Amino acid sequence: MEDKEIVELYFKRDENAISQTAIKYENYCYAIANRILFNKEDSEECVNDTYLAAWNAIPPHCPAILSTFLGKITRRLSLNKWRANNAQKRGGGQVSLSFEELENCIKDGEDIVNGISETELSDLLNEFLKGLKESDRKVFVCRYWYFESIKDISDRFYFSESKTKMILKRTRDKLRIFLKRRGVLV
Amino acid sequence: MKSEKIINALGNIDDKYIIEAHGENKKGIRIAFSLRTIGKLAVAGLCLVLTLTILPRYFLGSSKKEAATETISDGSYNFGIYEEAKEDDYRVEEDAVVLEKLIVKGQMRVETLKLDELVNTINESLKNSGGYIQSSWINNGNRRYYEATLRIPAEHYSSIIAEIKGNGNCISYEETTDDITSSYYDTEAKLKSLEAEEERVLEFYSEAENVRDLIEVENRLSELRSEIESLKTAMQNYDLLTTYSTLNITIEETKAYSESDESFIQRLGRTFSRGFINFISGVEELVLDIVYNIWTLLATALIFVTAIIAYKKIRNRKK
Repeated sequence: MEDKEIVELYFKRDENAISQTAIKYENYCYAIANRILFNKEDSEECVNDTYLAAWNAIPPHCPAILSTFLGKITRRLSLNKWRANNAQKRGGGQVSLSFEELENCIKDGEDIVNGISETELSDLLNEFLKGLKESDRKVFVCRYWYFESIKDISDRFYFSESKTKMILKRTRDKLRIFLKRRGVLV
Repeated sequence: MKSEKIINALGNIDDKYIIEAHGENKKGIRIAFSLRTIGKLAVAGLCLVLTLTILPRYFLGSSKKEAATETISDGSYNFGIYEEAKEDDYRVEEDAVVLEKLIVKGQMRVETLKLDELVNTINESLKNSGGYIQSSWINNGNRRYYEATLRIPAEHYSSIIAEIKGNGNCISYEETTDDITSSYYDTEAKLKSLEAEEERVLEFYSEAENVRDLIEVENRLSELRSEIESLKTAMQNYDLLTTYSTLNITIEETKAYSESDESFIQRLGRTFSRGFINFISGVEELVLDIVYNIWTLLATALIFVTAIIAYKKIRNRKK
């Protein structure tokens, strides 16, 4: 079924919308969740929560691209769950590594300004991503949006792992400079 | 955590970036520019080159051997079709015309009735042909002669030799030719190959993404450039030697030309008279040298005589 038809089902409040979403996007959402949570039960739970969140959000929201809409929800829910789990046990998984990588690129004594909203920061990140080379942008998003491992990214783009690491390092440094110039990082 | 805000904000980035990251790789299979890949590419390239160069030798060999060998001489340059069986190192396509690379050196001894005129003629011819005098020396003593090393453009070498012979009496002429075609084209091919490799390495250099690769690529680049410079210098030397032929010439001024068909007695008489003239000339030179150094000699003699007189006086007093 086409995305447009699935969204129409949501608007009609037809419960088939969820089953059709599951048929088409379960694997996609599960992959995102599992990369973050690294746990089958938790990931499945997050995917189911994603369907529910979508059901609640549509309408009034009408997603332009259903896949990324669902992906964003799954990511957010999975991160929330990861944080909850992580409060008891730290370390492990690609999410921890991603957090550490981004944490390390910001120097000691520097921090994101308190007043800035998540939306404003997202807009800045969009601007930053727009300015990147396509290959660098893809690698960056794979790592920090999809939380893919270095090996998976290398395999995806046919890069060596050292090259992938180098791209990520340079992009993080660019991000730091970008945020600093925009007065977000002080 | 500082990074948490960024991670959260990344959750709301444009959909296009999320799709793009997991979309089709437009460029298809990307090559990881690690040195291991460079090595693999180099081996593959070598195999390809060997396949293209060695296999045709066996499959196309018979037709190549049948190709006629023809040499057209144009002055010191020869244009020839290389016979396959004779050229193991340097292979050319069938029917391809290849410029031979020859280093020509000549030794000439000439007599002339008017030395200055012949020297002027040679200078004029050299100027017109684009040649030059590497070194020259003229003796304006009793026996006037001119010695020079001339660098003549290879294509004008024969005509200038003929002109000199036409304006004087050539006593002797010797020519040696060194064929460097094989080594010239080997060097040229090696240079091209290294330059091509340099281009490839430069591409790798611009795309290399880690420091280790960069350093190794830089090292290779440095080696390549050194080899390229050395080969370029060799090529320049080859070009200079083949473009300009060398003629060492001695022109003697004489009252009358020597006869080439004279008998032994005549030659004996001529040699005796020349020897006598040389002797007289030598004596004249000696006298001139003595006159030139007369003051030094007188001063030395004065000191010497004074010293002897002083010595004798001292010896007499002791007695």
